[in-house]
Amino acid sequence: MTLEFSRLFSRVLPKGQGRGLVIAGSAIVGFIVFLAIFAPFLTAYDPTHPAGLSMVPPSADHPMGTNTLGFDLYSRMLYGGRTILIVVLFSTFLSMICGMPLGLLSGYLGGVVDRSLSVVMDSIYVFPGLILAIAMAAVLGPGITNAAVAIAIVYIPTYFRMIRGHTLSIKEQRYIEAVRSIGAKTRTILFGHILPNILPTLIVIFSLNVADAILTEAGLSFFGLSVPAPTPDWGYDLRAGQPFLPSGSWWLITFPGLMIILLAIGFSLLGDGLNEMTSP
Amino acid sequence: MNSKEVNSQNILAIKGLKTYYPISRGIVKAVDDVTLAVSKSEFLGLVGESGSGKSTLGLSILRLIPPPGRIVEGSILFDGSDIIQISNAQMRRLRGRKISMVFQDPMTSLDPLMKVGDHIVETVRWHENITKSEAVARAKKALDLVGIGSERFQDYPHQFSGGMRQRVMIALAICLNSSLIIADEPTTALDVIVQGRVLDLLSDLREKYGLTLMLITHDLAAVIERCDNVAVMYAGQLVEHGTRRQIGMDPLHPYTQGLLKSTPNIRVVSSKSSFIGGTSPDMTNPPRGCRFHPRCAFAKDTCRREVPVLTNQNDGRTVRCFLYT
Amino acid sequence: MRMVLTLPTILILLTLVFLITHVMPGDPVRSIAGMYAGEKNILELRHALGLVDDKGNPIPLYIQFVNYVVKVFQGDLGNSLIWGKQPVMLEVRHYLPATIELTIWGFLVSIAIGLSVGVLSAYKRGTVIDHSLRIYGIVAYALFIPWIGMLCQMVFSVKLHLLPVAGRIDPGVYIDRITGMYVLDSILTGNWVGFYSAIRHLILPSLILGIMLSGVFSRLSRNSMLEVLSQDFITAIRARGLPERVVLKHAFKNAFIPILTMMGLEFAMLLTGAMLTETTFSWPGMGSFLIDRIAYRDYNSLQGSVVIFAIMISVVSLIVDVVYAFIDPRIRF
Repeated sequence: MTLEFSRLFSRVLPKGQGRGLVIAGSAIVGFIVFLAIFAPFLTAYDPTHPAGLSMVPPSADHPMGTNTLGFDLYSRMLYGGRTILIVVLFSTFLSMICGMPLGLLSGYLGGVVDRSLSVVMDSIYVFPGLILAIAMAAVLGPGITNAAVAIAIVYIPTYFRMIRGHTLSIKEQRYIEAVRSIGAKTRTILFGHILPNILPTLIVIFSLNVADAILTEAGLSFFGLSVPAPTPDWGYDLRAGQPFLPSGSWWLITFPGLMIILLAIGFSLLGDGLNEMTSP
Repeated sequence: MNSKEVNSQNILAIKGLKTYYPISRGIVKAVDDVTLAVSKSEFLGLVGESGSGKSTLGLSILRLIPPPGRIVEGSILFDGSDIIQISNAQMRRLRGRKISMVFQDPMTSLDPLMKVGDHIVETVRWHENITKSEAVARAKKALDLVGIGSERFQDYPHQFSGGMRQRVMIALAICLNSSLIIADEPTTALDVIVQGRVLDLLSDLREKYGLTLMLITHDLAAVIERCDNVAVMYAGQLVEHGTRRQIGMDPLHPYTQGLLKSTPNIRVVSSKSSFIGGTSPDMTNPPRGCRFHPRCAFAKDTCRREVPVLTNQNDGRTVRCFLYT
Repeated sequence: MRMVLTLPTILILLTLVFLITHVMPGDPVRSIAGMYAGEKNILELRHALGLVDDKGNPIPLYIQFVNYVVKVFQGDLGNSLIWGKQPVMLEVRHYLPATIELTIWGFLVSIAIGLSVGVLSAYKRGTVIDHSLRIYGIVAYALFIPWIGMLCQMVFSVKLHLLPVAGRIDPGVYIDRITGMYVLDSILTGNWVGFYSAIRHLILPSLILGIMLSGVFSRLSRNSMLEVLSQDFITAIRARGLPERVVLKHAFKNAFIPILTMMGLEFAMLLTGAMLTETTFSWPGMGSFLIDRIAYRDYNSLQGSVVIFAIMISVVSLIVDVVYAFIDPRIRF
């Protein structure tokens, strides 16, 4: 049994560069996802209702203490994982379904379509993501969908460029000419030949992109522009703890921030490791 | 061993050289026991296909093997002393000054951000304690010698054509009057006509200054045409070594024969060129016995089991083949 | 080539900003004015937002857009919707230098750290040093600025009293304004008290910003350096007997050009980081300004700030392109 498992393991993750990073990254991400999914089993408290006295430092009852409203921070950390993962994954999904088809179209058709789309995408790409997301979220208002849309728009160019570049390079290759010369329809070419090759790059970009999106979402929620209170939200909790810094209530900011960077580091390690593995 | 081995006129004597590269799959035995001697002012052509280890041999002489590769065994005697044993600092003093190298791709062998003349000035000033103006004068002289006018001193590499860039590399090789010049596939990246010119230049310089020239290439025809002696490498080993007449007129080793047959002969109108069947061996796990046996038309049982050694022949050359022991 | 693109880029961003603030669902005017505002106030507000003309007739969207663009190019970003209706441009003039100063210092820190880490990492490829420095790169970028900033505030300011908690300068210290950048101005006016105060307040913010960015720069420099070190001319330099430090000098010069280009692209990250740094350290720059005004639904200020950011980016891209063309001989000749 273990022999087969280790063989499968070596097949999927060949020894060499990057493997350590992938393992470390997946472990971290997996751990936090686990915490988020099994939150109800890991804590008895409701993260949106007071669970005791407010401003209690970490203790046996409240491993991470309580905040100004008496919410148990430990449960807010666990459930907060759900919030951030949902927003980030939702927005990434939106970015992909908008950016990828456009990139494919742009790369394949070329000409005016390509040039105009590229200029628009480049302009967005070059603009600071967080600032754009903040501007949009400010106008759209709070809410999971709004936050996801705001973040999604920031990253559409990332997927657009990736697919477009890939399409351009594949388009020129001989076998596409060959396939075209036997009369294959455009659609067949697009879906049958161009898309499948992109999987390794896509996974890497996805991972690194999610890491970035996590930091953007944290920024949004830090400014209160993401999900509305009292939904557990790491960035929001971080900001809520800021005024109490001088008085030494360290637990209010330490744990939310720690969760944010842990999740971001996890996805970054994963993405970097996958990058090493897929490009020799 | 070649009788030339003992010749005290030898400028370079390689003995039992092994250079290996560890990779994830195993160890690439790029140079696996090569013994070779070159005498002063000789023009040697080292021939082999990709993966034969010829380039690695050239780099080994200059001790430029990139880690984690390393010279595992053997000695390289240059001017009497074993340069494998000397310190890094001592080796650096030899490089560029006594032994120089001309690289394969002139497009990427020069620093694109540095003027062509400055390349030479930098090298000269590093090795010798002379003033800037003296160095500049020497650089201009070197450029003249290779056929690039000294007025192009201030130009950048991208302003030259491939052939001219290669000439700059040659100027760099001779600017300190090196006694041994190793040219690693100097013409592979160039057009056919330019190739001839560059090789002519090297030959001329050799005649003029008594340089020892080692030409590493896959082009057996060019080597037979211009070199004094020919050494053939296959799968990290030397398989035949003789004069150009011997190799050109009567190649002994089956691989050499195959190579000769597969080079198109422009003088004979209807010569059929053939190719050597099979594929290059995997250098982490070369064939047992004689490494060429899988592709050899004359392979016998012994060839599959035992490794042939280099044996002297009556005419003074050496061959590694059971047909001749 | 990029010079030509600067104008369309700005226009596109202006359009984006315009669309965001004018085409979004819901009536922003209502939400600004509140439920009980009278008709007269609503009309005034609509006028201030450029939605109706002097007579009260609504202006079509495309004409609104044209007016808006024309005004921007004239340097008029409209008036703030709160507090005395100051022209946004005036407020920008007040807040912009703070951001520029922070950005410059943060940038300097990030290239100092990022380049050294990246180059060392590339040169010692595959060793423990390389792996640890790469982990540093990943972690440094993921250090959410508000969090690490607050932690440093807790340790260095609250606990150790070494550095100020927030702000740009000690209260009561005053520096004559020439450029608006305190360090520069204090040097120019020989104001050493001001200089000392300004520097003390700059340390934590620029360090935090710099470290976060160095994560990205170190990866960039490492990749660029690796690319260069694998090229033939590096082996050729060694083959001429030149020592490693000469090799590194050549390698670095070549690696620097692609790094420079990418630095231009990373300017956006610099601005993002600056905004987070400003809010964490109460640094009175454009980032703080933006966040502040959002709370008050001051859409004109929001729009104006975004426009300023867009212009900053375009200018920096332009500068990078010019410098690039200047130092790469392949382009000059």
